[in-house]
Amino acid sequence: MIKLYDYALSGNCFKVRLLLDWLSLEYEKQLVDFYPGLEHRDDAFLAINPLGQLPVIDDDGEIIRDAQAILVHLACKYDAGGNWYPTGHPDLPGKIQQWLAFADGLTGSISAARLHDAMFFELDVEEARARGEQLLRILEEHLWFAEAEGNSWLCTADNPTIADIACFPYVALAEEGGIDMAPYSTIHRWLERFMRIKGFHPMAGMMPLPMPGTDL
Amino acid sequence: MSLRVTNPVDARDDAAVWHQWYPIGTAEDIRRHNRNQTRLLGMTLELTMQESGIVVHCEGRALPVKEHIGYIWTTLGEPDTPAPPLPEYDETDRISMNVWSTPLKCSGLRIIDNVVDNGHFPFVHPGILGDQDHLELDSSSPLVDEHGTLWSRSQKAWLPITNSDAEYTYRIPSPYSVILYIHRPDTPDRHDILGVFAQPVSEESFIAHKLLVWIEEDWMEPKQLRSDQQWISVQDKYVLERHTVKKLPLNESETSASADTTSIAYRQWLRDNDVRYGAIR
Amino acid sequence: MNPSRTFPVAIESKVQPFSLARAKLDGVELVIWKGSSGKIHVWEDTCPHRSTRLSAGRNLGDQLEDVYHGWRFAENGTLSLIPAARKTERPDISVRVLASSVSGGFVWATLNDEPQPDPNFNGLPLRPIHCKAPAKVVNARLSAVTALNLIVTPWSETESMIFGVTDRFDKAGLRVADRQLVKLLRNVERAVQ
Repeated sequence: MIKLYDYALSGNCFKVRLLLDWLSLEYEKQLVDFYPGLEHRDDAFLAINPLGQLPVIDDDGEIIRDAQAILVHLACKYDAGGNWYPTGHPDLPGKIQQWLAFADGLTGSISAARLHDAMFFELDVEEARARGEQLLRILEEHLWFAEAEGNSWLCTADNPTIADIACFPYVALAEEGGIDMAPYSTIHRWLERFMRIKGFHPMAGMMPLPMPGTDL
Repeated sequence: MSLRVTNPVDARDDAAVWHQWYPIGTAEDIRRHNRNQTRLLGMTLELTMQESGIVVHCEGRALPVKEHIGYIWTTLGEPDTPAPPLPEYDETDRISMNVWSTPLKCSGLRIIDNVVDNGHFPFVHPGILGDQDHLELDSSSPLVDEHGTLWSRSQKAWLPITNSDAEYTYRIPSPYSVILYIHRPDTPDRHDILGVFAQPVSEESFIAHKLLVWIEEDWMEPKQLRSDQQWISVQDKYVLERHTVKKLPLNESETSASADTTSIAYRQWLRDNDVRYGAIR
Repeated sequence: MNPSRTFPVAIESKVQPFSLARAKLDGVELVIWKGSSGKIHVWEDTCPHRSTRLSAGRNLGDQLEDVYHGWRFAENGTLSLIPAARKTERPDISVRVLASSVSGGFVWATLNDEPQPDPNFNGLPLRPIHCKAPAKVVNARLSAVTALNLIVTPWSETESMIFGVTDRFDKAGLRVADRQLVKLLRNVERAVQ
């Protein structure tokens, strides 16, 4: 059984929980009191992940840290359909990797602003918001021209990939970090499409009810 | 066009709000996060850790400080009521947990209004505190002001996990605080308790301090309890930070329904107490 | 001059069923949605119950549902359901409906009584670009741009949304035009900061 070191309000943990559910994988949660306990900085947790970050999974003894890496691991190992990380299409992994790296940027900016605003984390929040908005503008432009090509997702036309999972949560939660999401109508359409994926369950801080129009 | 700009209120001009005790966090959190400053009612408070405890200063003046139900409390005024008593916090067969302290971007009066309202459960907390098959709310028993505290007793709402109605009693000891008593069918005279204490930072922002005081049962896992309560708080945050009017209107600008009895009574009680800070009159 | 104060607030084809879009106009926050009737509605983004943003809720097709207490509003803006109460419809309670119309592939709105869309503003829509600068400043800077037909919608005192149409660019040309417009608008932002 896969073991997930988890904090319920972490967007990065949410990414992993989503894919685990979509792949119908059983897992047990090991709760880490990120806030207010700061348990991720304790020696016990640093022994598991010296970077002191969540999520981490223990898959049959193999420890994997980093949300994006865990998404790759789960998709490669368990996704029989091969849609979430289509290694069979040689042009896709590189494109997906771009957006996995972009997701790291979202964590460092939007998520940082969120931690500052919600959990008293000390950092330059104006800089974090500005950097977050820069990334959101890039995302808005990319999605607009993707839509123009008939593509519903970050890298693909018809099926979402782990690129979409990786970028979704912090974009959806950006307002918690004091970022106004009104300017990004194309991003909003992509968020709505993502929330219509069969089996999607929101985390706290996202629209709590089932998104209408799921059969579109 | 509705008026968005409202005149700011100096908290000193709001006696019901100024002369109160407010929590500023747990001693543990303040130490752990090296907090040396916080804000209360538009004022900056300097916090210093001393051997005797935490010392609070405002504009050079030392403020009264006390430790109570896990929090450090302070006041800018001269309260004639103590910080709200909660003797259950020390009962030995209970889990008493100061869940967390988290800032929110709206008036603290809005969270009290939110806690006492059951109508939002099926929408904001679907499957947890309410569901779509049980939307109607019974008209409630009357609200009573007892010695300055507002009580709203026996408000019912369907609780999915028990497949039955849950019953809640609300105690509002001051404008920015609420204590919720959850009735337990097994022990009619003892309740599970949730406290939400708002530390007003400004008229349009506050820090929510949430605590739970539950009768311990075998199945309870403290880490899971904390996680569940934080989750519910952030679900509420989704709406609390999406009010287009951040202050709580005490005038007729928001239209209540007949089902909003506790919210209506709370707003009337605030009017009766001449509360202005964080409100629109 | 635009005495009718009618501006584009969305691209018609991008306002989709079961979806909610946001915009602003002269400081008023808007929710834009397409109902089952096919009509596109522009409302002030505030629920009359507890002032929550309607755009945070759901487009159920024939009704817009507010997320806080599930109050539902029919396509004409009147309250059609209060879930917690036994009595339902309250035609006396409604949202603030803005005067709007669809023209040239855009949704237009005004805070005045009658929308008066610019009849010459039609063609292939450009990507709308947000700019953190007042419309007056952006308009001054864009007056030199002749290759594109642009309208600057004043979102608030500090921000604008720039809409454009073209009849001459192909796909590659659109991307070039987009980049040039972005560069210009970012310069405007830097200048006002």
